[in-house]
Parts: sequence; structure tokens; C-alpha cells
Amino acid sequence: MTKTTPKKRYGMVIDIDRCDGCGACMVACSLENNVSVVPAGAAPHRGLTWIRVYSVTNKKEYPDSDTAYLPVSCQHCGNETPCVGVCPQSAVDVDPKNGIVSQIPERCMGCRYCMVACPYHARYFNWWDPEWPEGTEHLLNPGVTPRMRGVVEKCNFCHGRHHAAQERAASEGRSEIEPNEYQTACAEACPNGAITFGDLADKNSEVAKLAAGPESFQLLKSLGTEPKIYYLTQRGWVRDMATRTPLISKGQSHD
Amino acid sequence: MGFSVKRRDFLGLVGGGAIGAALSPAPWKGLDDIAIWTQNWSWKPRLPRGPVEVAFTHCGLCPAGCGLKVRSVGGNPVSIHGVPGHPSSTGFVCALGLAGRYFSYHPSRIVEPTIVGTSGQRRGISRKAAVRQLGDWLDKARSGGGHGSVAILDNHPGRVRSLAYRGWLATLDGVHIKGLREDTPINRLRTMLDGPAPELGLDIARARTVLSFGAPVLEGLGSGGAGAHLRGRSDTEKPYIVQIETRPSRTARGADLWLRIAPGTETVLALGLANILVSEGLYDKEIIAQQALDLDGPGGYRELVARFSPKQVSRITGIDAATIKKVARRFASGPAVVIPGVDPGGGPLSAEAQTAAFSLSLLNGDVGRPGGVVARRAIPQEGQLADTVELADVPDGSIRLLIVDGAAGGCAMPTSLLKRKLNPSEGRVVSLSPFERSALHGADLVIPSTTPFENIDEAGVPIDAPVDSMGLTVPSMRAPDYSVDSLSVLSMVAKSSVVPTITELLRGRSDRIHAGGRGSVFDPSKGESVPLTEFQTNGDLWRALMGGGLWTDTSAAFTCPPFRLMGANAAIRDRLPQALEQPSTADRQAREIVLMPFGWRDAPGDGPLPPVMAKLFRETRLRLDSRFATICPKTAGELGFAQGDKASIKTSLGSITVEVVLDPAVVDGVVHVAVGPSTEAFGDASPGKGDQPLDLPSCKNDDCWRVIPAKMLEVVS
Repeated sequence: MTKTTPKKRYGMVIDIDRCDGCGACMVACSLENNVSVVPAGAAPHRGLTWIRVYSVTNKKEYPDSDTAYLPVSCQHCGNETPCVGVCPQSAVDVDPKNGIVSQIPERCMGCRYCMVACPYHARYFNWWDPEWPEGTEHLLNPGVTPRMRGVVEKCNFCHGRHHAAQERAASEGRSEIEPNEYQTACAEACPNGAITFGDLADKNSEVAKLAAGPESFQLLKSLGTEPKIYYLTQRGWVRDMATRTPLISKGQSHD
Repeated sequence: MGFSVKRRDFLGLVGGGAIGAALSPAPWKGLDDIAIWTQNWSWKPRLPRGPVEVAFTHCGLCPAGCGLKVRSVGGNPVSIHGVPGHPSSTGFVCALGLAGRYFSYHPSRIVEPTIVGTSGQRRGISRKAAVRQLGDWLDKARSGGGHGSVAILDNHPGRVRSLAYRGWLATLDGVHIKGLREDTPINRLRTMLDGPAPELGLDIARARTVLSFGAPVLEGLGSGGAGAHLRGRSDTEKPYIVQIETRPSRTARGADLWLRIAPGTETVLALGLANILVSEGLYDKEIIAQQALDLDGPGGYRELVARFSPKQVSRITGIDAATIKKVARRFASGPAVVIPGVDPGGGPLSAEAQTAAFSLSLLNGDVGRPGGVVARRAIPQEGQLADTVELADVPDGSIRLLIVDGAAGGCAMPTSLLKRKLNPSEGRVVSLSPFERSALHGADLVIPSTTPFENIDEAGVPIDAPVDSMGLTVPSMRAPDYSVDSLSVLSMVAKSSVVPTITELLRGRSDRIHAGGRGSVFDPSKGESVPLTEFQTNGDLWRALMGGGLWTDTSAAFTCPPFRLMGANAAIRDRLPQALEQPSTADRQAREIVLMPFGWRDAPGDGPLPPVMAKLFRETRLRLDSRFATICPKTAGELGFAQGDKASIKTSLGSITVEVVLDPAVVDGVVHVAVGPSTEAFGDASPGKGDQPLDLPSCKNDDCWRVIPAKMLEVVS
């Protein structure tokens, strides 16, 4: 894969020190993107969570004990995007116009190579038919098609919202959307303002300024995937854990 | 020269062809086409279609009453968003509120009235028969009992609906019982004031220090946006949050200072802090001299707190003396808010702990000053109303007919506590809940009511609101025919027109507000407030409220009246010195373990949850539900448990089976178990009603179930 220089470069900055693990981002994401609930009894790592908040501790006793909450979604890698290269179906797409890495479920054949390749455990497989309680299909988001059993899905920066914003701009004769017209559901729902979303290519944007700050870092930076999700923290142990060690495995969030 | 094909040539052709084909796009295209077949899965949701509408309302799922923007397609609410600039919630919506619209279709919803027959089995009956049965029980309760034989447990007291309940009960000589909510303890402070007290609120936003005794300050306490504001404001603006809590909750972990207190020793710490305020002269001398009725003299407050020296307090609470002094001095440095927290699952502090905690507010002169405890002006009410009491104050065995309001209360209660108040032989419980709720499994009769997004009601006033307000939960979904409003049920039973409809009540309050002419109204569509005086007619105000507007009152000057630092209740006063008799932390560790149930702020555990909330629990274990017990590695090691082991937690009333989770931040000798969500909370098709932690406490003495002696045993499979 060659490195591209998109016109826009959508990304996110997550302030770990502001996140209190409420999980509103996870619920908002699931509702926005019609992510189904897996059946009772399924192992935690089979859950479908386009953004997943991990609870991590420094494993020390009171009063030195400390806990951080680490929201992890698809990192929308900007270089050698691991899931793209391994997909035999070309079901993973990197939009050269904005850098969004998206999954095309209609193409996916469920081989799950991309899940193996993803170093961030940010891709999820539909092990079951998506189901909602009877009657609640009328409450689903009409702008996002639910995925079927046997395919992989993941965060796409609320593509439905992006399309809606583009359509709105086009209907008004504009070719570009304004920054305040497109916001992801998780960023909108975060009560603590821990998630900032925007165009990293716009140096004047809030997200670009935060990403360029001294407290900013990327998960597993040494892999060279150039994630477009940046994190902020003043806590050294959190930064060390997030940049040097492999991510905690799914379902082991309470260690 | 002849042409012959040898076996080797044939194999070479086939092999080469296979390799060539594999390198061509053909098989991959074939795979692509096959992949399309996977779309033909057995279930396809029909996404809503139709005109898009946007409406504004308020959330009725908890006391916060957050402002909501509801986007509907074809008449179905497909998304819920916060309202930026809303005076109370400031754009905040919690995870539960985002998914609240799913309650209407929850699988545990009751779709017909049910009654427990003579065989003990629950069976469906018609609404007419249910109302007739309720009427019979009502007549029987009235004829067989005196004052308080008929009662309503109101899970959302303070609404106009509550006034209708009280008006109806007044005709029956019944009592109105306040359900447990996070603002319940403030009534304790009102009882410490001499004479009639106004409605009180906590001015957290302007406080210099917040002294929280286990309240979920950073998890959505009060108005939804309060916690977020406390996190988001700069260090120079936000109050210094001291969290006094045994459990490593999210608030404890995020507070400026977490005092990990020994279980059940909050009274000792509060009086220890008072000891320093009094001994160092850090209290408000002018207020105390003028208004305190019980500071000096034999058995006075000064004498009481003198016994709670920092050394003694440290020995019992496990908090070092220097930290106690530091906190006391910080507390006295400006306006402060004290919050004796109500845990959504662990319940309230003991009465003496609440009294001791609020005595700090009185000492500091915080009652009646900005940044402390402020008074809200009342809207005049008419008519005769029944008494309002707390469940703890209801005599045991006195209720013959208990009607339980179906509002979402936010706090779970032990079933045993409710049953204790019923007449042992003739006590009946009638539930007006829309759902099967674990706390009401024993209800004799259930008449299904509406869910919060289907019925108009009053959003309520959160604990941290310094002024009164009125917002409506304007319905965003149609109520099904099998559900009925609770006031309609009372009206049918009363067989007369004495019970007004909820719309009449709300309209009446709106009209009284308009007549008062005070305050302002927030318009959610514009994001701005306008003075009430700009609304020409009462109809204009009503239309604004029905459009999701919020009326907020102006603040009122309030001078703290004379008060009793130890409260007016003699029994509580007598119990305060006994707090010193608790064992030291060193002694505790040698004793049996204690179970401390707790609840999640937006998932208290005795009711259903929208299925998507499973993302936070069983799909990720971001939050642990009632199947898990958190314990420190040291205690677990001593008891022979490791991470992931199954354990049985036993008390005198029963046992629950849990999976062990180790957390070094937990206190030695303590095990924390969440009160729900239970296995059936998410509406799964194959639920298994497990025993819950709240089935275990006995609540024999003081209606407090925070600390329960228990044993932890290995489960032999």
C-alpha cells in the first residue's frame, strides 16, 4: 500500500483523563449504527462494540491505586493499514478523500483475516443473526443498514452521518461540508467532552491542535500504522501501557 | 511425428491451469458473488420510513429530568440527543436515556393485569376485574385498619401526580410514602431545622468543597450535566471533591481526594470532622451562637464531638488523623456542600450518619448561603393532602393495602423491607408498574401502566437545582391500549371525579406559575431563555412547556432558622455516641467478611434495561453485574479464592453464587456485589431469575443495608 495524502483526514483525540468509563459512547455508537446485541451467554469477546471502553488499573493498592478508561475503536490507520492488505475480498476500503477506513459488509465473506491482522482488536464478527426485541425495528436508525451474520464490522466514523451531511451540503449547492455539520455519535454523546472529532488536516481545527500537543500519543505507535485516533493523558503509566505493550485481550478489561 | 499426451503432460496442464486460475481474478470474483449470498440471512429488519420530525421533551427515567431532542421517522423515535444550553442538563444524556425509547418494547413488559390466585400462580384478568378487585381490597383495608392502613409508595415524589395521590389518600386517612431516591436524605436536614422548612437544594456548582459520603457525584448525580461540569471545569473553578466511600467507585477514582473509609463508619468520620471544626473554632460562630439549640450543655453537640478525637476516629475509620484534619480545614475554608449519598443499590446511610453529616453543613453556616444548601420557592397548592412519610417511618405491619406507583425510582430496595411494613395476614400489594420488577415479584395484583416515553408527566427537580423548575415529559410514543395511567386507576376505584387527570394537574400548575409571574422559560429549539413575563397568557406558557420548554424560578433569599445539630429525633441522638463502640480497622480484619451491595447510577438493578445496555455489562464487562463479586487479592488469598473462581456468599437470609474478581483497591474483608442488572434485565429470551444481593439483607434495625455480615464459601461443582 502506498501512503496517500487525502484532502481531509478525519480523526479523533480522546482525553483519557476525562473519560470516566460511563459507556455513553458505546451505547450511542450502537444505537446510531444499529449494532445488534449478542445473545445472553455469549463470551464477552464475542460482543459487538465498534467503540469499546477498556478499564485498566495500575495494579497498586490504595492509596496508590489508579484506574484509567481507554476507549478503543478502529484506529483508521493511515499507513500500511493492516486490515486492507489481508482482505481477499477488497471489503476494506480507505477513502482517499478523507482517510476513513470502512468495511463493506456486502463484500465480506467472513474469513476474519482482518481481525487477526488488526493490532487494536477493533474489528468484530457477527456470529449470530442480528436481532432486536419484537417491534423495536421501528426504532432503528433508518440511515444505517444492519449487517448480517457472517461478516465483520467496525467503526466507520458514523458514515451514515457523513453521507447525510454531504447530501445536505449538496442540496444547498456546496461541495464541502462544514466542520460543525459532521460529528460522530460517540463524540456527541460523551458527557465529559473527552472525545474530539474533526479534520486532522485542518491545522486550525480543535482536533488537529490537540493531536499536535505534547500530551498526545498513538496506540502502538511503534508499529508504524499511523492511527488517526490520538490519546491524551498526563499519567505516565497509562501512556507506557498504551504505547509499549500489546492491548489487553477482549473480555479481560478488569485485570 | 505423432502427438501424444502423456500422464505427466496432463497433470502439468491441470496443475498449471489451477495455478494460473488462482492468480487470475476469476475465483475471487466467484467468492465475491458467493459472499453476496450471505445477505440472505433469515431476519431482515424493516427500517422505519416516513417524514422526519424533531420534537423536544424531558427524560422521565430518573430525577435528573434531562432535556431531550427526539428525532422521529414515520412517528417512531429513532434517535435521542441532548439539548445544548438546557439550564439543567446542559446537553447531557446518559447511556440509559439514549436508549430509553426501547423500554416500550421490552420483553418483560406486562401486557395485561395479573393477579395471584389461591394456588399462588399468577394469572391474567381483565382490567375491569382488576379494578373491582382493587376496590374490594380498598374497602376491606379501610374497614379493618386505622390511619395508614392504605398507602401509596410513590417512586417519584414531588410531582403534581404526587399531590393527586396525597389528595386521594386524604379522603381515606391513608399515607403517602416517598420512594427512595438520591434526594431523600435532604429531608433529614429539614427535620433538623426548627419549624417549617422550605424545599431545599444543594448548590454544588458554586461550592468550594463537596464532601460526598458515597454519593455518585461524578456519575450523574442530580442534574445530568453536573458531573460532567465538575470534570470539565478548570481546576480553579470547580469544587474540590472529597469522596468518602469504601468502594472504589468511578466517583472515588475520579475525585480530588478519595477517603477509603472502613465499612459503616461514616458517622464516626462526620463527627470526627466536627470535632476539629469545633475544637479549632473553624465553625461559623455567629450562626451557631444565634441559631444552634443544642451546642452546649450536658449531652450537647460540643460534648458529643469532643469524644471523637482524630486519633479515635482514625482507629475506627482507617483514615489517618492528618488527612482528617486536612479535610476539615479545607471544608471550613468556604461554602461547602455535604451529600449523604444514597447508593442506587446499597441504599441510604443510616439515620445517624445523615444527621452527623448535615450537622457539618449547619456548623459551617452553609444552610442558606450560595454554594451550600439553598431554598426553593414553593408554588402554592390547594386542597387537603395526606401526610408524606419515608418508608422507614412507617410502623411495621401497619399497611393493609399498598399501591406501588410505577415510576422509575432510580434506587432499589430489599424486598424484605417492603414486606415488613405490610400487615402479616391481610397486607396486599398492588403494583402499577409497566414491567416485571424483581422487587415486586410478590405483588398480589399488577395493573400495567405506561412507560416514561409514553405518558405526560412532570420531569421533577434534581437535587442540585438551586431553584424550582417545571419541565414535562411530553410523550414521544403512543401508549398501548393495555396500559393505563395510575391516576385513571385511582379514578376508577374512587368511582367519582375526585381524582383529576394528569393533564389537568399539570395545566393547573402551569397556570399557577404563570400567575406568579416569576422566572424564565427555556426554549430548546432556540437554545435561549426568555422572561416569563413575556408570555401573555397561561396558554402561551402551556404551549411552551408542551414544546419541551423548561420553566425555572428565581432564587429566593433564605435565612437559616434555629436548628438542632443532633436533630430532633431522640432515638437518633441516643445512637450517635454509640458510633464510637465500633471495632477498630485492625479488629475488623480478623472478623468475617462483609457484603456491600451497590448499584449503578443508570442501572439500579430492580427493573429492566434497554437491551443495548448489555454492551456495558455482559458484552464487555466494563461494568460488573450481580454475577460478580469484587474482592481484594489479600482477602481472596486468605479465603482460598483466585480470579474467576465461583463463590457462594451467604448471610442469615440466603446465599448468592458469584464469580470472583480481584481488585487491589478494595478494602480487606469486604466484598462488593452489584444489585443487578439481573439476568433477565436485558429482555433475553431465556432468562434465569437469580437471587439478588438485595434478597440477602434483613434490615431489622435501622433500614440500612449497606454493610451485611456474610460468609464466602467455595462452590463445589
